[in-house]
Amino acid sequence: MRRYESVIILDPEIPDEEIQGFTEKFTSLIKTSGGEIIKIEDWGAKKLAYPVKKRDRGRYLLLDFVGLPALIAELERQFKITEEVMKFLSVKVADEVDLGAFTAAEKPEASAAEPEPPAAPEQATAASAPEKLESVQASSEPESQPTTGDARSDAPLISAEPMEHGIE
Amino acid sequence: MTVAKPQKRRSFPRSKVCRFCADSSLRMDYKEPAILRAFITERGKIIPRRISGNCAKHQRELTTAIKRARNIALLPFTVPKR
Repeated sequence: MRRYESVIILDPEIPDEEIQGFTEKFTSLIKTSGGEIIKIEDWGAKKLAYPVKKRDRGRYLLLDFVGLPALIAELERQFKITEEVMKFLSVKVADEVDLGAFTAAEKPEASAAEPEPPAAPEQATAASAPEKLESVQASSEPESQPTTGDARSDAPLISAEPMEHGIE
Repeated sequence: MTVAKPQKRRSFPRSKVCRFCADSSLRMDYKEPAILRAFITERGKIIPRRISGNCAKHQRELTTAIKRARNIALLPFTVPKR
């Protein structure tokens, strides 16, 4: 068993109920092949760095799961078939994962992450363009990696000056 | 001529320490474009190690992280001239 992460970008216009349908569809797909979902994160609608399928925005969904390599092939086939999926990326996080460890210990975490998402996209659409990205990120930050909060805020400061000079 | 060169170099001091080595809480992740943005130019290019001061190991990880982030439209491949 291996641990994978799939980020999928969905059409931003589809309603929340349908998003729920998609997550269920992919969850059942993973489970029927003997894998296990660790967590599902909904990052809400974000502005894309470049247009995808002529759209400037996309709804991001992160699937964190354990499964066999053959599962990825099937999952990606499904992503391609599903028209609402604009783009996807699957990454192997770890080799040789023990499935039992996740099914027992990480279950409460997975259920805690799910009820949260619907709130985030609502806020995002209400705010103005530059704020949008930040508000979505801010809402997802605390649960993912609280320790890196400080480091991120000073990141642009250090880089800005020496690099510009260097390019010249 | 020979005098001018070192002076020129001194004018832009660069950080010689790899920021990822110095700060272990700073982790690069393709899902965190905010961190990665510090290591790309305004035009979206990856900043070379010689300028950013990253160590080889972290630069390699950074490169894959940036490329992954580009793939899911979190970072741009190019930023067109206005």
